[in-house]
Amino acid sequence: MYKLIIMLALVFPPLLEASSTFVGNGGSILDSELRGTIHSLELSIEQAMREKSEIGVCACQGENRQCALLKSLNNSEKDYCQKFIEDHSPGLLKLVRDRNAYTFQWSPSALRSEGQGRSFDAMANASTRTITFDENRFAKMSVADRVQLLAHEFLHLYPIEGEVIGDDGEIGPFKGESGKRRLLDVMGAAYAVSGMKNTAVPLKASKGSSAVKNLYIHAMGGSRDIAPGFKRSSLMEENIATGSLGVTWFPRVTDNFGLFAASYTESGSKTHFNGQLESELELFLIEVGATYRLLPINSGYRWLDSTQIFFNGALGFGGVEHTFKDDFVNLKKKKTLSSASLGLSLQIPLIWNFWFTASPGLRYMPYKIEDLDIESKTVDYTTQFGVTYGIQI
Amino acid sequence: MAFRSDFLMKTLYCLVFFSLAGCSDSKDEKYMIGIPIDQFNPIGLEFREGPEQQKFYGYDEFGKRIVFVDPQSKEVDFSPSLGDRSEGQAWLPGSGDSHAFHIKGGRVFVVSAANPDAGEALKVSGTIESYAAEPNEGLYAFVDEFFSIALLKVDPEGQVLAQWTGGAIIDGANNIVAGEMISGGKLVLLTDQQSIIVVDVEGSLASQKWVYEIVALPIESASWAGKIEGRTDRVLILDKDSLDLVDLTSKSIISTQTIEDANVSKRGIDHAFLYDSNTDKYSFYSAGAGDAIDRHEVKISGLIPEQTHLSDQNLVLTTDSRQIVKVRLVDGLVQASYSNTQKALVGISADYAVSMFESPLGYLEILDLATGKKTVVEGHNREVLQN
Repeated sequence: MYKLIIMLALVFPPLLEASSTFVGNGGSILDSELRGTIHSLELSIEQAMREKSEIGVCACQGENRQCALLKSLNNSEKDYCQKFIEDHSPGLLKLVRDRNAYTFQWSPSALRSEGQGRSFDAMANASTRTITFDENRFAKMSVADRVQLLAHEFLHLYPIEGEVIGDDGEIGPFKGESGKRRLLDVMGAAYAVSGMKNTAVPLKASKGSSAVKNLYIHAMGGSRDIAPGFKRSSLMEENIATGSLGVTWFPRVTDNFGLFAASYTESGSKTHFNGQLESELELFLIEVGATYRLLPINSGYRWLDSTQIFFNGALGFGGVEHTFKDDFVNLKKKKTLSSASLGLSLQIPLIWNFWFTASPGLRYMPYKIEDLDIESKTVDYTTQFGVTYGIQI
Repeated sequence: MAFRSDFLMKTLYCLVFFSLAGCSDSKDEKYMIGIPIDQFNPIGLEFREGPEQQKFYGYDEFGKRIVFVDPQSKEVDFSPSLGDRSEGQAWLPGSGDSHAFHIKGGRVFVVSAANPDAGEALKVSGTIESYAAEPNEGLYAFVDEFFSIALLKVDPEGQVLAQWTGGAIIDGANNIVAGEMISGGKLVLLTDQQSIIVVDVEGSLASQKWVYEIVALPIESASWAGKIEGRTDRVLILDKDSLDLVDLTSKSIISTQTIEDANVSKRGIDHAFLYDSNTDKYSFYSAGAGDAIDRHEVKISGLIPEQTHLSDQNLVLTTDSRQIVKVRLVDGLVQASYSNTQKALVGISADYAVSMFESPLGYLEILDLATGKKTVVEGHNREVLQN
C-alpha cells in the first residue's frame, strides 16, 4: 500500500504541474474550455498550413463574423495575410504547442489598458508571456470567436525578427493607429475559418449543454427511504416522495465553490383498512448551503467535458405536518424542524443548457411530535432525479 | 278472519323501510340457552350493570381488542390485544372486576389480573353461540352450535373450580331446544317433549354427569326461557302461542298471556314483544310483581326495533334506521329520540346509549338519554395501529 502512495506522490505533482499552465484553479470549466480552444487552434493552424484552395486562407465565402472580416480585406491586405500565414504558421504552431512558454489568467472584471477607455476581451503581456482573459466575455463566446481571440493573443507573444507585434501602429498594408490590431484580428479570423473546414471550429453553435455557466436552476423529484421505526409510527410507506427546486450560484464562472439555496418538499400518504384510514405527511424546507463543483472528464469533446459533479452540503429549516384521518377522526399535528443534508449531483449534459441530474444523498431531519408519538431521528438515504438548466449571469 | 294481517303489515313495513335486519323477528334469540353470542357479526355492544358500575363493551375490529365504556364516568378501557376475528371474538365479564371470559370460537379463556396465565378454561367442538350464567354464584353454561353445554364454576377471582360438558340429549329421549340459568344454580332447559328439565348445575359438576329433574308442563312448542332476577322458583317460557310464567315449586303455569309471533330479548328485564298492526302498537311482556305477566303498550309508528332494553320504568330501543328511542312505559311517552348519521355498533341501557363507529382511529359517542348530551371519545386506537 505504501508503495502505491509513494508512486502516486511521485506521479501526481508532475500531472498537476502539467495542468498548472493556468494560474488559479486549473480545474475550472473555463480552463477546460480554454484547453479545448487551444486544441481547436492547433488544428486550425494545421489546416491553414495545408490549405491549397484557389481563394487561399484569407478569403471566405461564408456568412459569419470571421468571414465578414476577411471579405473586408483589399487585395494588398489579402496578399499580406496569405504570406503571413505561409511564413509564420509553423512558428506559431510551435509556440501554441509549447505549454511551458506561456500562462493564462482569468479576470472577473473588464480588462482595460492604461489610458484606454475601452475594455478588451483579453490582453497579452509579452514580457511575462501571460494572456489574461475577461472570463465573463470568454464564457459567452462562440468557439470561432475564441479561436480568433486566442490566435490574436498568441501572435502578441510571437516574435517576428526579434520583436512581438502590439496593437498600435501600422504594419504592411494595414494602416492607421490600429493597423497592427486589425492584422492580428484578420490572422485570427483566417485561422478560425480554416478550422471550420476541418470541423476544429464548428460552423454552428453546438446545441450540447456547456458547463460555462455560473447559475444553475435545478428541478428534481425522487424519494427518501425511511427507517422502520418511523414507518411504523407515521403509518407510511417505506419511501416518501420528495421534490426540490433550487439554485446554485458560482460567484465567478471560474469558481468551483458556490452557494445554493433550495426548497425541499416531501409528500407521502398511505391508506389502510381498504381506504378507511389515511395517513399523510407533508414537509417543506428552505435550505441553504455550499457546493463544490468537479469536472471529472477532460476528453477534449466540449459536450462530454461539461459533465459535472456537485458536492453539496446544506442546512435547512421548515416544518412538517402529519395527519391520521378517517371518516370520524382527524388527527393533524405540525412541527417546525431543522435539517442537515449531504449529497452529490451528477450532471450529465443534454442540449440547450439542460443537464440530466442524478442526486443521491443523506438527510437528517430530527423532530418529534409528542401528541402523535411520531419521531424522526435517523439519517436517511435520498435519491432524486431531474433536470438542471444553466445560465451565465 | 284475520288473514295473518300482522304478518302482512310487518312485511309491508319491511319492504317500505328496506331493512332486512329490521324485519328479523329476533329468532336468533330464540332456541338458545341463555344470552346469544355472535362472535362474528354482533348487532350491538353488550351492557353489564353492577351494583356500583355500568359498562358497555364490545370487540373493536381495528384495535383488535375489547373496548369498555363506563357511561357515567366517561372512562374508556381496553382488554389486551385479542387478535383478529377470524375464529370469532366475544367477551363476558365475570362478577365484579376480578376476572372476565374471552371467548374465541369454541374456547373460553379466563382473563384475570390475579392469574394472568390462567389460559383456556374449557373447549367445545363447535363455535360457542350462547351462554347462561349466574355470575354471583360463579356458575356458567356455554353452548355451542351443536348444543353441547359446557358447565363451569369459578371462584370470585376467576379460578376454575369445576368444569364438565354434556350433550343436548338428556334422559335418553329429551331433546333440548332452549333454556336459561336462574338464581339458585338451576339451569332450566326446555325440551320438545312437553317438559322442562331443571338441572342442578353444582350437582352436575360434582358428578360429571347431568343431575336434573324433569317437570312435565303443557307446553306445545317452547322456544325461549326468561329469568326473573333474584327468583329461584320462577321462569318465563315462550310457547307457540303464549307466554307462560312457571312456578318451579308447584311445577305449574301460574300466569299466561296469549301471544303469537313474538320477539324476545334479554336486554334489561327478560321480555317478549310483538307488533299489533290493528292498533299500530307494540306490546312488551315481562314478569311483573307477584304472579302476573306485565304488559306495556307503546306506539312507535314506523319504527322497527333492532335492540330493546326493558327496565322498570322505561323502554329503550334502537331501530333499523339508526334511531335510538326512549319510551316511558306508564303512558308510552316517547321521551327522547336520537339518530346516528353513520353506521355504528350501539349498546343501550335504561339511561345511556353508546355508539362505536367504524373508525380505525377509534370513535365513540356516549349519549345521555335524559339530557341528550353526547360525549365523544376519539383517537384511542392510534397507538395500537402504530405498533
